[in-house]
Amino acid sequence: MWIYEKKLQYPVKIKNPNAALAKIIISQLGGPDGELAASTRYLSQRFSMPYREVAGILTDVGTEELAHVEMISTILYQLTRNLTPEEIKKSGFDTYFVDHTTGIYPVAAAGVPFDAKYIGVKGDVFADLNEDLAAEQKARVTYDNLLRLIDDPDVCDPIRFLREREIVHYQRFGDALRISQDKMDEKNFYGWNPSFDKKVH
Amino acid sequence: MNDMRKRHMKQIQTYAFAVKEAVLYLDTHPEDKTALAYFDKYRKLLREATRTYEEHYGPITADGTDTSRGWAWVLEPWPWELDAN
Repeated sequence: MWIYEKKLQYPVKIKNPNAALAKIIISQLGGPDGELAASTRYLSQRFSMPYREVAGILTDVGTEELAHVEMISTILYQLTRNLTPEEIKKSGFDTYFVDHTTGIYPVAAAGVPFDAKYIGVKGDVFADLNEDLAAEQKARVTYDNLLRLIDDPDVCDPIRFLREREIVHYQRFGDALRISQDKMDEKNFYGWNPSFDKKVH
Repeated sequence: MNDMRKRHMKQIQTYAFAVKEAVLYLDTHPEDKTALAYFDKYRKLLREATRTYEEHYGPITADGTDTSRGWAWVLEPWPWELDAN
């Protein structure tokens, strides 16, 4: 279970609304490498993890990703406040506005709604951890791309924080992979799935 | 939110960040004594800062609500509001 804490993980205070920025940043909410996919991926994968340390890192990173969903949603909420119909049309935000007004709905930058196809749960510790390592790098690249397109320091600041977290999570998933490999039988490295098969000696 | 309250919130966020980092590290290094001591230090600071904040300003968790002042949980700003940051 979870308990809500009434605070952001890192402050978000954007002085100037800018719907054009919201239109691209929304990919880190509902896009293929976004925070919603990240939290769903890790919190789902943990059940089939054979090692408690790995289930632990997936639980705690997955929980932090929920805080990142909240931060991205806050950035979108603050960027789209007090918009006029003219600003909505000029910024290209009109294609989102027509269906969702200024509500927060998970879509990718090109408008494709969030899809569970963005996550993988293979039920195998090595397949799943390698997916997670790639996912953190893909999210980091998305943040790098966003930082190339954003020039408002109020927006760049929380985006840089989120980018750094992808790197830390990558490190921790690397530790989890090392732990899992250390527990494998060196004579039969990928010969059995510790999440499923009973080990026979 | 007044400036003092925002400063207190920033302090909580800072301590919570240190605790979170320690938690993630300890998940894959559960016997690391230096990391355990780091976790203990910042958990204590976070708990104290959270208690002080809840006494002076309002709840961080629903559980931390002082009911003598009404249901402050919904009367105080939500974290995404501009004024809460």
